[in-house]
Amino acid sequence: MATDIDVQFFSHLNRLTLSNNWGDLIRLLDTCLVNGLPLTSVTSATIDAQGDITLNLYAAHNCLLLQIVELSGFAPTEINGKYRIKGMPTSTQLILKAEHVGKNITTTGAAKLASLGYDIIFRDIGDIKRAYRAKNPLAEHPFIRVDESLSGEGGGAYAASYAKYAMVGLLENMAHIDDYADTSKLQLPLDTTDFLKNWKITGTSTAVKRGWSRWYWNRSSPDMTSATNDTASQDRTTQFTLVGDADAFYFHRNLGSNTIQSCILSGCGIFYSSLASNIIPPWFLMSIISNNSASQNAGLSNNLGGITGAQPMTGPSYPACNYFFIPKYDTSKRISNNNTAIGVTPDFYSGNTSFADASNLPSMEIPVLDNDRYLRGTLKHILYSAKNQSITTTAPVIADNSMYVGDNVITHQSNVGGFLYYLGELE
Amino acid sequence: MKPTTRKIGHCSSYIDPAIGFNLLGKISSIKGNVKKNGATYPISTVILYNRKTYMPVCITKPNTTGGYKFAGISDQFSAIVIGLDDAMQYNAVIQDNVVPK
Repeated sequence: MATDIDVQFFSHLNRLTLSNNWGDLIRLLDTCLVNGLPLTSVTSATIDAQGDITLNLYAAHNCLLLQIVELSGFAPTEINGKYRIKGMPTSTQLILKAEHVGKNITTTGAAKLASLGYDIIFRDIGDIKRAYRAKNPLAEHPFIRVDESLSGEGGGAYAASYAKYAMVGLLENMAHIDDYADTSKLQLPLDTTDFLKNWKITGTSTAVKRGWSRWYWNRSSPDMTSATNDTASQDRTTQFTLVGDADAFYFHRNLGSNTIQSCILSGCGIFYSSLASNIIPPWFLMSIISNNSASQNAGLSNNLGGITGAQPMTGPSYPACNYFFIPKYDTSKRISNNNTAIGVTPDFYSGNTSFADASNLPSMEIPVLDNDRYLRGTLKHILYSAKNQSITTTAPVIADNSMYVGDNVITHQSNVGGFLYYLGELE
Repeated sequence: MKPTTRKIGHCSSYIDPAIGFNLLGKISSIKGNVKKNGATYPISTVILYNRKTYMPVCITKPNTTGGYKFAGISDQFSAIVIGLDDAMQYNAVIQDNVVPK
């Protein structure tokens, strides 16, 4: 069986940075979603008796096992393509799972960690906004708008020293980077009384309100539950995992604490839909939804201050924390306020549970149940981890031929659990 | 409405899962065929032992053509493979110092 080469992941362990700087998130998304991460130059490449490719690189590759490497410029041309990393004998050597028995590489080309497979559809002159979309999209693939603006729409001004977050939302169609006011186009999240709600900045100084769906990557407090605000931002020990494909991706990063095992989860894209999806698209968005001003004290994970979605699938004490967001399933009224959804999991302690801990690597898919009680479908890639795996950072795992990557997440308040992601089969 | 799936991910049945999840070396496998007097012989049990600890790592049975495979193992691992005749007519067959490839 051919190796699955669709679901890719990236990590801080690849020496990608996500620091306390504006622009860091967009540039990280550009690399992971669109461009890929070029590796240092290939000094030689050979094919072994099993047909696997060995790459020797000029300097350290900083890759992780099971990541996808994309080769280009090689001869013969059938060598070019995507491969899983199955071995890393040294810091400058990679072994790629391939089926090229008996072939010889006559020309070495370039190698990079392959992107998840998105295009940048629109960007702005100031280079602080993006609209991403899956390559070769189907109608249901959303435009993913990511906006790091500190002023503009709404006339307000958000100080650069405040908490670092991007305004993130999904749109069904866009004609330009700021095309979000059209009331005929579905958005997620959506308040039909104010199509600008997710993108506007109103007020100044500490009273500023900036956006609605927020992907934080640095904030002042290391504690998810304490009432704190957005008027400061403190650099974290950078840790993240971004995993997925052109349909959906998930983004762990250690927002909750300076200690590394404290990631929160965001994500977006489409899920496997059980319902007809030609009217209501099968989108999901995992994000922190907040309409608070910068100085309003709130705790991300305890629903103080009306914040929802900070701990998708892992916040039992304050149910609004474990929500994520989907379009309302109302085929007679397509443009409606968004709905909330929960993941159907055995408990709220993914990766920190004894639910099935006799198994080596127990995991299961997560169905999507919306707040109107429509069973909408199943999330792609992400898996509930039915055992305490003690995952502390980006962790590739293999079980026979099945490939996974995991990372930690804060579960109930400050407990540490995690999720697994299915990468496919190695062979 | 199509059924909403809640599939369970595949996990190995290794007795010592660290052998399967140890990704320090190259991801490799041990595979072979069980034969009796030169003919394929699926009526057997194949046990993989850790050469360093002598502890069992995995137990399997060959497929109908006698083939077996232990996948997802590091090439840093050294194994002893024992094939047992389930009919208990022949002695066990042992391969020592088997290195995954």
